[in-house]
Amino acid sequence: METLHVVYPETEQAFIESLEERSAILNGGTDIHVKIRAGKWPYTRLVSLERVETLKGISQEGKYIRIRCRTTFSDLLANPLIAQHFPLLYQAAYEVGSNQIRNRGTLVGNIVNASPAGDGILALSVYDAWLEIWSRKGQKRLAQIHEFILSPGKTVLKADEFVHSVILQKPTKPLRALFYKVGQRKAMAIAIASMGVLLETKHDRIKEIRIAFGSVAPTVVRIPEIEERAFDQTLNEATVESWMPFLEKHVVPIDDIRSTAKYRKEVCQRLLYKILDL
Amino acid sequence: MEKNPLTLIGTQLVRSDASEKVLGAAKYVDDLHFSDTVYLAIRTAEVASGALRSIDISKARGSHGVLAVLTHADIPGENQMGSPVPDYPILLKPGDEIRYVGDYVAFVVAHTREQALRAAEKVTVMVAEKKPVLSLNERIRELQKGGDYVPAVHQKIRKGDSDPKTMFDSCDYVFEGDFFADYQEHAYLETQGMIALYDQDNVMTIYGSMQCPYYVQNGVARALGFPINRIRIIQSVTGGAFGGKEEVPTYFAIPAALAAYHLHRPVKLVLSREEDIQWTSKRHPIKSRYKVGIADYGRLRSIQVEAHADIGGHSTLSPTVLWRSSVHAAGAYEIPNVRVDVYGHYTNKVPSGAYRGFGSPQVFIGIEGIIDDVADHLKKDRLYLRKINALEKGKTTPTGHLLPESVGAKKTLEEVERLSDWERLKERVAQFNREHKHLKRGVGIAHIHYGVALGAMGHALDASGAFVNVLPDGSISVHIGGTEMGQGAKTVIGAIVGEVLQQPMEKIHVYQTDTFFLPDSGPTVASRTTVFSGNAAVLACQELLKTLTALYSTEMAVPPQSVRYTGGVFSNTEGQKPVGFGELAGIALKKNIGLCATGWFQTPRLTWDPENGFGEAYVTYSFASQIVVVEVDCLTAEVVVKEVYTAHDVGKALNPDGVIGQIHGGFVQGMGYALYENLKVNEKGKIVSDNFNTLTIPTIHETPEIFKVSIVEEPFSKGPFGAKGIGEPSLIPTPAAIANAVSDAIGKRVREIPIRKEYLLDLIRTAP
Ligand SMILES: Cc1cc2nc3c(=O)[nH]c(=O)nc-3n(C[C@H](O)[C@H](O)[C@H](O)COP(=O)(O)OP(=O)(O)OC[C@H]3O[C@@H](n4cnc5c(N)ncnc54)[C@H](O)[C@@H]3O)c2cc1C
Repeated sequence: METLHVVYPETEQAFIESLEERSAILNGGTDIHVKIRAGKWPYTRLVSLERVETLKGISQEGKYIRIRCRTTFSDLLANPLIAQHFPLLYQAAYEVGSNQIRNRGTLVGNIVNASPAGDGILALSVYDAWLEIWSRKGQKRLAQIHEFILSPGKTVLKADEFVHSVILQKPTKPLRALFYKVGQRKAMAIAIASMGVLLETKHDRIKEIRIAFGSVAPTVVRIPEIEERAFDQTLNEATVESWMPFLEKHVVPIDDIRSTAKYRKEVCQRLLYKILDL
Repeated sequence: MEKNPLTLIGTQLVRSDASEKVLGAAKYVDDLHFSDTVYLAIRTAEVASGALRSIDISKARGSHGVLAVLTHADIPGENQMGSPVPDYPILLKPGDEIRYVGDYVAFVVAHTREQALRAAEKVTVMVAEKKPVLSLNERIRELQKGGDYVPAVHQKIRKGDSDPKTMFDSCDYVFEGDFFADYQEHAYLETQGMIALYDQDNVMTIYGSMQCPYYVQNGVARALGFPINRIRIIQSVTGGAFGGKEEVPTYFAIPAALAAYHLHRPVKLVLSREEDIQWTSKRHPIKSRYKVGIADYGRLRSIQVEAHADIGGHSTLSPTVLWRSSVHAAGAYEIPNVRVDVYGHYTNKVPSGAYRGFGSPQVFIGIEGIIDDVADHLKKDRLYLRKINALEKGKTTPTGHLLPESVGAKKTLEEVERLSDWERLKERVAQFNREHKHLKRGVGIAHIHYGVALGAMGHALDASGAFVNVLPDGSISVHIGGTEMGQGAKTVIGAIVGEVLQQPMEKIHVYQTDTFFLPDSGPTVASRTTVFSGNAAVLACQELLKTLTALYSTEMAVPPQSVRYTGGVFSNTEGQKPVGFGELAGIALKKNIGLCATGWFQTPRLTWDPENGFGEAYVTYSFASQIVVVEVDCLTAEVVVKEVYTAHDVGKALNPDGVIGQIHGGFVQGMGYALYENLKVNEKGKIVSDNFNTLTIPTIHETPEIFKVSIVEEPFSKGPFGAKGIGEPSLIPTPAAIANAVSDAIGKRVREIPIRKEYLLDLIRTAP
């Protein structure tokens, strides 16, 4: 194993200055450690966010909520703003790993890791989250979650950039939320398939639905065909069944060590029935 | 001497090793440090099948930090670690056949483990690769074709009419079914690890994580060509074993010892989790076909079982494991006509081996599944059907063993009926199912027996020793040949000694097992330690009491037959002239009277006909019945265990908390086998689910909240205070009970464990 150098800047400025071409950011380290152990980590220098207090925390900015990059899943769960405005993110955070993992793992780490199974990504996808990206030279830009992640492990981040925070717009109406993860077991499990749904109904008629699946394509996928067609449909079994063909184009899973493509495909269709209990 | 009321046995005891383990003070092998230690890495074949052409170690030898690269030519003794079948060379030499990816080619020793690992990659190996045999089915087809293929193992049972042509003639109904139970990984917390060094007396000394030090001692002596008295094995604190540290630790002690022999330095080998999962034994995958004939409104009349096990690349313990499968294959019932054939087949995969339950959970899913089929077909209650077929005192087991005593089988069935409130439970579950569309609950029962100790096939190994020494201050040291591996052996043996000597636990210290203290006491397996080490300890303590009684009688001028010993105090019949244990021990030692004794317990004789597979298989049997309630999400095929009711006949619960701990732990491990484990072997014969991120075992979140235990005590007259075993019977009913419960929930028979979601969803989709 190569020697790994970790630097611990203490201010935002020092952090930004520490970023170099050949270094990577160490956040909670819960993905990085796994990769180092598996011999799949190319970097020998890590810049840790651990001591940069100003990059931690959640704040309200008008109709937006800002989640800074050092914010852990446990922080999300402890903040009433999340439970109140973003119940799907709350549910997803609750299902990540274990207490220990949630205490270290961050939402931004989850995003940049860009796994199709990322529970945080799934939640942010249905909320159409934005990411505020900073560069070493002090430039800032915004990217929407859907365009930020390119493929498994790949994002649009350039070598001299980092994700400063996640920006979420507070929904103007209350949406019911469902996050459902099928894993190899109940806790400490990576999704075999997962579904996130936001729903608004009036007298059994659907006014709005947003729906996404994880772990069944190279990235988390939204199903626009359902979202567009569902307006004013009655929420019942027949409706849900009529949506099934729309999954075909987006749900394109593979066989891997955790499950099979066949199971994943079928389970996504069947998960739609869970919306009826919402 | 009269009987005293029990003061320790059956009471709530504090585990003697609890605080050191909870505080992190216990020394596991990786916590042991000797100066000048060097580290060993193993270069394996990495090819599942073929012939080894050549080995080139020159690059590895020149690699940074390397001290030695050892190959077959460096073995002073026999290049063989296969026992009883010599099919397992320690290190392959050119020309040898490679039988699985983990076969050893070279051992690399370096100053650090990283250096050794890096150098091991530089050993170049040329192999003439062959297409590996990875599927059990391939072997079964070969056998069925006839021809000259001979399976590595064939164990059989024949009782009554065992002719397949006629044995079902007198039956009213015949039921058939195929079943499959896959691999299970032991997943002990501590991976395999060894340190070998020339220690005191210039003896090759090995500290390691293991359950059977005498196996290791014999294996290392053979490899080094040393007399056994030059090999000393000290079991370090062992973080779980479950059978995985029965035969396997020898395969890691040998490399370490070989390197220590050549380098004269302490050598450490502690496996990473990935190495451990890839190289060490698993529970045997077993495919079975059951045919069961019924007469007289639900009585089992005839049974035919044909089972096939994947034994992997080397036979190791497979002959014994599969013998146990054959003995238990027909279930815990009285059946007049029995025909069982269990075959073991070589494949090019990791050798299967010992695992808690030793080949029995895989076959109990078959018989227990069929029993439910029978009950459903006859429209009889599933519990009732088990009751009318259950074993009782005076009945014979499927191997023809007439049971003279200690048969709590029916009582365990009655206990789970009571615990679960059976009739109401069935109604509750039916009610739930009426109210839910996609969530379905199911109830499953399993009823099992389990032969305690090594049985007729393991007679030669079935004896154990204990050495008890009373010191001048009245403290007592105890050495046993059995081992503590987390199951609580030290606590229960301490309690036995304390009970017989009437001394408090605090005065007694039970030591880690060390082959220098006792003769070969056999393995710590087969749920035998409480009975075997326990009986040996009782014998040693009785010897000590004899000495002390005689001494008291001369000192106090009291006739020997009127000496009383109660509450740790010697006195005469009237309770006068009291002298405490410690005081009398002090007097004894001042008078040069030795206060140490060795107890040696030999297994009671069994009558067994190996030719026909008939007779007394084991000295006694533990019994268990279990009811579980599961909930199946029929949309996703996820299964959760909601409730458990379990009753175990253990003879006598010497340490009730320990028994309950075993039952809880055994259940969760059995549940992992039934529902969560998913060991994957790739097309090259390599295990790819080699860490717990993909090889999932249950966590506390999967552990059912409702868990009720009943302990049944039908004493075994030859056990210490009546005890039998619980170590394995705690796990054995669980896979069958869960498979039956899932079947009940979905209305279709589950024939496979682990019950993978992919498989279950197919069943759900096609269920009525
Ligand atoms: C036992 C275990 C269980 C797990 N269970 C789950 C689960 O249930 N669901 C799930 O989704 N995930 C799970 N994970 C994966 C992991 O915990 C999450 O993805 C977590 O969110 C990663 O966050 P982190 O802060 O630890 O990231 P790190 O490991 O620190 O970093 C991950 C990646 O993001 C980069 N990065 C981090 N911060 C920034 C930044 N500000 N700007 C640019 N790049 C950055 C890093 O350089 C690295 O490439 C599990 C992991 C483990 C070990």
